[in-house]
Amino acid sequence: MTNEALQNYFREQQVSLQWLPVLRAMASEMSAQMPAEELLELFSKIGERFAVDTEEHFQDVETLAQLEESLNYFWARINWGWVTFREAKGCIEITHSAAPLAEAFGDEALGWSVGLLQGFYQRAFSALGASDTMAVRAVGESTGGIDIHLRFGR
Amino acid sequence: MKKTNNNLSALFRSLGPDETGLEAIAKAAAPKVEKEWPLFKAVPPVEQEPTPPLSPQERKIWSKQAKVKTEVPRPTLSMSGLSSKLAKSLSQISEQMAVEESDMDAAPPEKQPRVGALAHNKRDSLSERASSPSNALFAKPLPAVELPQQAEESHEAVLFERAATQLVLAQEKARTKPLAKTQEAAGSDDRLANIFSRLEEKEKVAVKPVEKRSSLSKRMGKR
Repeated sequence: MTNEALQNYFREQQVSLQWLPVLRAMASEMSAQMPAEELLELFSKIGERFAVDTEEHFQDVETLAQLEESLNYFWARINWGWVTFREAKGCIEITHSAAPLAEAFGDEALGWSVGLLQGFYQRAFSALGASDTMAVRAVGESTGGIDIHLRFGR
Repeated sequence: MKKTNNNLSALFRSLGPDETGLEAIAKAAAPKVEKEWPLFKAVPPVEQEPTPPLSPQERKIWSKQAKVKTEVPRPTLSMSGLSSKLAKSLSQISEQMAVEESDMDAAPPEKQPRVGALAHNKRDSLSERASSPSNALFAKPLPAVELPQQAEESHEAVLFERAATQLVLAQEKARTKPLAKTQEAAGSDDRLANIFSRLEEKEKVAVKPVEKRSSLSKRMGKR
């Protein structure tokens, strides 16, 4: 048994079979109807709404470590993987691991479905006092959707 | 035997709504409507109601109150994956079987220590199980069961070892994290407000304008 086989098996468990075909069909149709930029924006909005509903989980945190801990409690409960924050030069590096986005919407849709996490973290940082001059953006390659790298900064 | 039930049902049937007239009208109108309008046009657009926000009860499911009340142990990152869960479950099974086997064989305790490195325990028990013909599942992927060094290369052994290591790490992390958190909070360098201001370079901006203002006011005074 290879790591890849394990990884594939794990991915298959991430999304309910009740919704997987619907989400895949939705992603295909959305890709056909709208350009990726607009879909990214749409999913970013969805992510923001998502974060609004979960603000109770992080509104009282004071440090980056506490934010990571609080969010991971939430992510773990809904089987959305986990996140790590790291302050780098002029930005906060965000790595979200094991998010079900690639499985739910397909690998080819990851370019815009990642907007959901962008919007989520954008809203979270804004709610915690970050100014609007800074934004969350996806960066780099996401290794099979397992690790999604984002960056919060100018 | 009299069939009164049939009469009653006929009576009830006669009391039902007579929709033959409506059906006839609908049948007559259908071809005309279909000709004039395509099906999707014949359906009038209905204004969608906005999706209601989550109710307080639904929010409670995610709320922190549940977290405090139930005191669920904080899930560690290393154990949240399915592979880790599998490894943990397999570890427990193999550990249990190893104990059972040791009890049955009345083996000396030195051979199979119950306390100690979990990973080694798993590897030993795996090797024993692999060598036994009764267990084909484990016999196949572990041909070289005698050598512990080679067993390291087998994925099952690696899984068990990883699970054990992660368990220990998670426990250590859980023990040390509160202390680290307080230290961080006390240091205040990790505070989000400071981080945000660092990122926005607010600190520099906040210091420099004061000096500029004073020098400008001096100049203005001179003029």
